[in-house]
Amino acid sequence: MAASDIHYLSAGELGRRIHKKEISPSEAVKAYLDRTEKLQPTYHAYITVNKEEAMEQAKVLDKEAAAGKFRGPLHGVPVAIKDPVGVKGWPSTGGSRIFKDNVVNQDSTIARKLKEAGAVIIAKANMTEMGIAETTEFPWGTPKNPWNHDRSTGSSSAGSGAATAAFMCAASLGGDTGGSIRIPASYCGLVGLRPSFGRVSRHGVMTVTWSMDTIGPMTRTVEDTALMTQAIAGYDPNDRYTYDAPVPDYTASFSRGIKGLRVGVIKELIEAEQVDKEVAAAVKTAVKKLHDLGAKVEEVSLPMVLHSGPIHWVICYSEFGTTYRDIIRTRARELTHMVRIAVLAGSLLPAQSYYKALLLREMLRRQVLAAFDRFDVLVSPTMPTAAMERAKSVHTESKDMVSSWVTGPVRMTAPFSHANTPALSVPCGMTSERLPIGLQIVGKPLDEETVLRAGHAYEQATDWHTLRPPGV
Amino acid sequence: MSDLSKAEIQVLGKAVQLHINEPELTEVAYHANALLEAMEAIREPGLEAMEHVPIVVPPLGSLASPGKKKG
Repeated sequence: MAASDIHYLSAGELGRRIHKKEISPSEAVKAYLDRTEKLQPTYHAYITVNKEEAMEQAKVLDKEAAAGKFRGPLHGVPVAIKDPVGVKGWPSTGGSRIFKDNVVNQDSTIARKLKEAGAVIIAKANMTEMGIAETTEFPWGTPKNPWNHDRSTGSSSAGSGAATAAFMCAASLGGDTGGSIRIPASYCGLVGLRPSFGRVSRHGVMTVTWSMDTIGPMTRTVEDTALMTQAIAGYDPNDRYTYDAPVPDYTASFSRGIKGLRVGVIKELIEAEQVDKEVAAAVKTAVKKLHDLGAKVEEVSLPMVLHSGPIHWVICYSEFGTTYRDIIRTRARELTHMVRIAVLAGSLLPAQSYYKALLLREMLRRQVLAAFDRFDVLVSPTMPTAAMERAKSVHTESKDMVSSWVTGPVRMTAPFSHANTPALSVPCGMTSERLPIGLQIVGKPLDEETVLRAGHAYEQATDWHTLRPPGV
Repeated sequence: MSDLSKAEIQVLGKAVQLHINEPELTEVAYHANALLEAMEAIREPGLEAMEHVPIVVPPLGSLASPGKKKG
């Protein structure tokens, strides 16, 4: 294979070729670094690229491979991780200029696990400032959606989405509080998994909304998402919210298929007025494909999901208003405009509103979990539309403008952040404007295995994952 | 519910040691009022009886629906 084509391989396939010694880790890393150098000025996908350390690590992995020692299926595979995930000796800015000199002195558990698995971290991915998803301001440059540069990449893991869709890394990690992995995955034609809260350690990861933040993969195939999840999941004594539960071999379950799998189609999320007709049609076709593959499909009603927007934003505003309480008092002028407004407003919300939101979240969670008495997975569109045009203004012109996004698209993804369930977005179609559409597959808490198995079966029966953005 | 005025927003800010003025004040008021209004509008029966459960994931063994006992 020509070095110029290495980047088109999936992470899993690249790992297999490295294992067969057809490609060396150094060749793989160099191919991605060369491509990054060429495309970064266009896509603004990364905040930090560390060529020297990546090549040094690749050479160590070369030697191990030459001696027949392989750390696992990601041995020598170049990856990017969202900026808040700490890597020893690299800055963690959280997307903010305020933290530009915040060089961390130890690896996060995730970075350590990736390195132990043989993955080579080549870059830290761009994001909205502080991971506050509703902002459109990117202090480190605006990541471009490879499918259409005038459309949003989705946020907050915008850089991970742009980098992975533009083949600037073999796989990446994003962060998902209310949908920040699944939204850019849907907009950029990628696979993205929000793991169960407690499945992946957050030790050494900067916080946005501590009660719902998760870190998970964004990749070009479901297999790659499974491999990345395998590498980073598991109990961590440094994070007391991680579960001491076994981590299954995710790819091993793929061969079981989905015959007999009980699939619930969430009525409120597919019939919502705001769901674009092309999106609804693509998701209904995807549901039929699941049925054709042997799944038992039924409709399920979860009316509490209609409240998930206000629940989500009141919790987020209250928690990030607290997380950034010192910054808003001492360095407010250094924040971008929308983040400053959001943190100020979050600082004012009364405890009673936050507490009501917590109780409503629990009601919603119970309704979602009760559905799993009847179903193995639930499905919906990931987003109501394909990638939207990027916002032109950073200013809020009216209360109605806020009200519309408070009750808007996040209602598709946030319910499963509230229920603490794993949720996968997998490409399931294209609009007439050639923009990707995502199918969301949700499972029981800690049951990433079934979610990935369903996603893989669907993916392998379709060819959406093989499409490339124009000119990429 | 009626919107908080800009003066009331400033008082709320003062209570948490934040001095909020223009050019932020108007937009902060839009955000705070929209969020408070959206939360106030939710009238879900049974909310008052909801248990105050912590945010962490329930153990897998308790996934059965509320009230359903494990066999």
